[in-house]
Amino acid sequence: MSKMMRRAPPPAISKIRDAIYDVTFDPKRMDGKVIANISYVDSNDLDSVIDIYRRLHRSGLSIGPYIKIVDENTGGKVGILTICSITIDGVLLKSAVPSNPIGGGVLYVESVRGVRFTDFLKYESTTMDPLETLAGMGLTSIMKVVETGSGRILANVREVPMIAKDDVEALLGDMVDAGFSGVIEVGEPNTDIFDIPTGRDHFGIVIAGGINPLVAADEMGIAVENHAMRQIVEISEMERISDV
Amino acid sequence: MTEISVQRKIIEILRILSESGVPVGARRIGDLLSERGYNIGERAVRYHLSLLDERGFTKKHGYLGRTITDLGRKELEEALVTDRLNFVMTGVESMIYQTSFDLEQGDGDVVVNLSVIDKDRSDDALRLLGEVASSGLASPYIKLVDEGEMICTEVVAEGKSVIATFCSITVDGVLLKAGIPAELKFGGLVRLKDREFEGFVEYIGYKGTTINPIKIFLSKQMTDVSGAMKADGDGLILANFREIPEIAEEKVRKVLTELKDIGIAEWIYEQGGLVLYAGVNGIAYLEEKGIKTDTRPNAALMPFSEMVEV
Repeated sequence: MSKMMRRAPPPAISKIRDAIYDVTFDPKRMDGKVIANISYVDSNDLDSVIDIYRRLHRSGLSIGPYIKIVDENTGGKVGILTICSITIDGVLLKSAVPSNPIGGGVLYVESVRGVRFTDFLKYESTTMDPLETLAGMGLTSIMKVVETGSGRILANVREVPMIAKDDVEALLGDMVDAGFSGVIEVGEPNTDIFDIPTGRDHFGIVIAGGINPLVAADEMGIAVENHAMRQIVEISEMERISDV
Repeated sequence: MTEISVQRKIIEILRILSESGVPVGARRIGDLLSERGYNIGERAVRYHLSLLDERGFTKKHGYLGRTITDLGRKELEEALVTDRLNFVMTGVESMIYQTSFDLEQGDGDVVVNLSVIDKDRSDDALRLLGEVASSGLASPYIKLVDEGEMICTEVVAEGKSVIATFCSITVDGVLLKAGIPAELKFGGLVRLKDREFEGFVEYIGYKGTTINPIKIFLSKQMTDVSGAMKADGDGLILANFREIPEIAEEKVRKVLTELKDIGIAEWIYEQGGLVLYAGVNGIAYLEEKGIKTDTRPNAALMPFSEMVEV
C-alpha cells in the first residue's frame, strides 16, 4: 500500500512493531522500559480517576498497578500514563517468542469471562489505534463489568505460534508475579478466540487494553482525552496505584 | 455455544429478515439462503427458525412468515465479528454494483448517504449544506425528507428529517459500468493546504473494520471542513482512496471530466489510484456547526432525478 500511496502514513501495525522492539522490561528484575498510553484529564478530576483505576484494578481489568502522573501544572490538565498491553508483546519478543498483534476491539464479558468481540479493527488496516478509536464512541460499559461482572470492555488480540505455548504461559506467569493483570484469555491452537480467527498453528491471546480505567472514567462523565502507545517509560518512574 | 456453521446460517436468516421489512415465509427464506450459497432444505430452515423464535430473535406472524425483532437486530449487529469485518466492504461493493447512473442520460440510481437530524434544524442544515456545495467540497445534490414521509424504504420518524447526500462511491459504480475496475481501499481524513490535497493524515481500510470508516471519523468529530472552506483553505476533510490499474488512467480522467456536471468537482489522481472527497463532508460541516446527525454513509440507492441542487 505504501508503495502505491505516497501521501499516506503507515498503518498502526508499523508503529506497534517499532514500540514492541523498544520494550526492555524484565518482569523478574522489575526494571526496563514499558510502552505507555497517555490520557489527559482535568486536575480536579484526578482523585476520581485514580479511584476508578483502583476499582478496575481490583476487578482485574487494568493492565497492572502502575501509573505515572505528569505535567501537573499546565492549563489545569493532568497527564496520566498507563501501561499499554502491547508491552506484553515486547516482553515475549525479548524472550524470543514472536507475537503478531492482530487488532483490538470491544469485548463482551459475562460473569467476568470473555464471550465475544462485538466490534473490531485490524492493526494492518488502520493508522489509528483501534482502542483509542473505539474509546468514547459509546460502545463500552466497563463500569457495568466492575459492578455486575457483565458488560463491554476494550481488549486486543495477538497470535503466537503454538510451539511457544509453554514459554508463553511461563512468561505470563512472571508478569502476574510482577503484579500485572488483564490477561483475559489464552486460546487453543487453530481455534478462534472470541470469534477472531488466528493463523494456522497459532493460538490467540486476549489482553485488556491499558486505557480501560480511563475509558471507564469517560463513561462516568469525566472528560478524558486518550492517546494510545504514546511514550516509552522506565517502569521505575511509575508509581503503584496504592501509593498515589 | 452454538457451532459456527449453524450460527452462520442463523445470522444469514436474520440478515434476510432485516433486509426485507415485511414478513418472509420459510420457503422464501430457503430460496434466498440458497442464492447466498447456503443450501439447506425447507425442513432445516424451519428448524433454524424455531431456534430463532425461542431465543426471541424472530417473531412469527401466522402464515405470513417471520420478521426480525429488536433483539434479533442487536444480535445481527454483534454476532460473528469476523464476518462483519467483511460486511462493511461487501455492503459497499453491492452498492457500487447496483449504481445505474448513466452519464449520457444524466439519470439512474446513485449511492446516497442518509443523515437523520432534528426537523427544526432542517432550514439551518440546508443553508450550511449550500455553503459547502458552493465551496466545491461536496456535490450540491441532496434530498430532504420530513417526518412521516418515505425515503429509500424507510419512514422518517416524528420530529426528524432525513437528508440524503450524494455519495462519492457512485463514481466507483460509474467506473465499473465503463469497464474500469476500481478497488475501494480505505476512507480517511485528508489535509488540505491552500485548498490543495496534502495527503491522508489518518485512514481506516474498508476490509479491517466492523464500523464504516467514514462513520468513525464523523462520530469522532475529527474533521475541519470549516477550515478547508476558508479563503486560505487549510483543513481536514473526509475522502476515500481506491486502487485503479494505471493503464486505465486516461479513461478514468475522461469519465471524471464528464462527472463534473453532477458536482464531482474535485479529484486527485495519485500514483496507483484515485482520491475522491466524500459526499458526507457537508454533513461533517453540520456537525462542526453544532447540528447533531445520525449518519449512515453509503446507506442506499436513489434515482438521481429525485435529488435537487441545494
